Amino acid sequence: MKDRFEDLIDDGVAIDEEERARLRSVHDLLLQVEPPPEVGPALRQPPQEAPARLLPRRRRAPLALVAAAIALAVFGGGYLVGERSATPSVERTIVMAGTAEASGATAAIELLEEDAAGNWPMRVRLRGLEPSEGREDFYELWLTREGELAESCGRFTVHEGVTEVTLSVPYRLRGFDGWVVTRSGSDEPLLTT
Amino acid sequence: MPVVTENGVSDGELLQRVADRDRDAFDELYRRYTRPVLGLALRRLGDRGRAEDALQDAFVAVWRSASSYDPQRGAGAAWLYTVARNAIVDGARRRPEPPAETPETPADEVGPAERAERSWLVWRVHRAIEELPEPERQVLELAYWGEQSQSEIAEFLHIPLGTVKTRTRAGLARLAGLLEEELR
Repeated sequence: MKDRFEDLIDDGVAIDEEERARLRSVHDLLLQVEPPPEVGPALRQPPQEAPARLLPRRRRAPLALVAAAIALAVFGGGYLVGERSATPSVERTIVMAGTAEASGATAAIELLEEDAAGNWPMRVRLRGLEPSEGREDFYELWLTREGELAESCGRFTVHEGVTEVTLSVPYRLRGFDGWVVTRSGSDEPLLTT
Repeated sequence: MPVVTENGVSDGELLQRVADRDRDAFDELYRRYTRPVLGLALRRLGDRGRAEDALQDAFVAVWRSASSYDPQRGAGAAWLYTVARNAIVDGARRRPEPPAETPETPADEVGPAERAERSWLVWRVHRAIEELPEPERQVLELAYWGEQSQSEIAEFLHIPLGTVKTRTRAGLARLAGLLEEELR
């Protein structure tokens, strides 16, 4: 039986012994090193000790739109359709792992580019969670602050295999430090960052 | 050690721009090093909250002292590692862990030199992972740290198994290049 390394690098393209040894050494190194920590939303922006410009460069262009959105929100609501690209880029992928109550479960949150109205869209893919038994049996993605559930990012049901959901939240992510998935009727974390 | 990254700007060049108070360069350095510095702080402090404070302290220190970086004396990563490590240690002294929350830690049997070497190695691996293109980083993290099989990764990411294998091999090869010195 091939060992895991051989299986990992077997992409059907021939490999010489020197290259195999080189990749093997990286493989062995990765096995020795623990994963880097996920960076919570609170840490996505650098400290403001430095003289901060008002907004990062990529957000300068839609500044007027953001101002208009704020004005609309303040003066009686309404909706602003911002200038969003058809396929917003992925800002960061956050990998979540199952806790003891859901060992083997995994999730990946693809945090997409903040839209012009200040919402953070995200694609969440989950696998390994027990399938929902109905609409009332839902899972919920939370932002956490100091280890406590702080704000809900949305509820969803889960089916066999991979479940993919799209969510969007209006929160300022700097105020949070992690992500957690719970099941309805419980605050027990099933997936955490 | 590679000094030029995928976007063609080295850490050293960014540090020199930070010394000139270039906020964009500072943001880019922060993006590159957030996870390695947070990992370093977590290993040193063992507490997420204190580590996050230390991360902030470390980057404030980088901003303040970037003008002391001398490219003739070494790569930007090594300078940043030293500044971050010092800031983390200083922060730990200023904000000692409350006695009531002191965790019981097993005796550390390795010496200071080995700990320092290990710490640098982990730092370099984490930084190298950050340098990978997102698709390669994702499959490697899921394979090595998510403990998923390649079939599971393919299903999880909605990509063909062959793509997982191609990305895995490409990612390992890229890492081998980035970690050339560490692998000698």
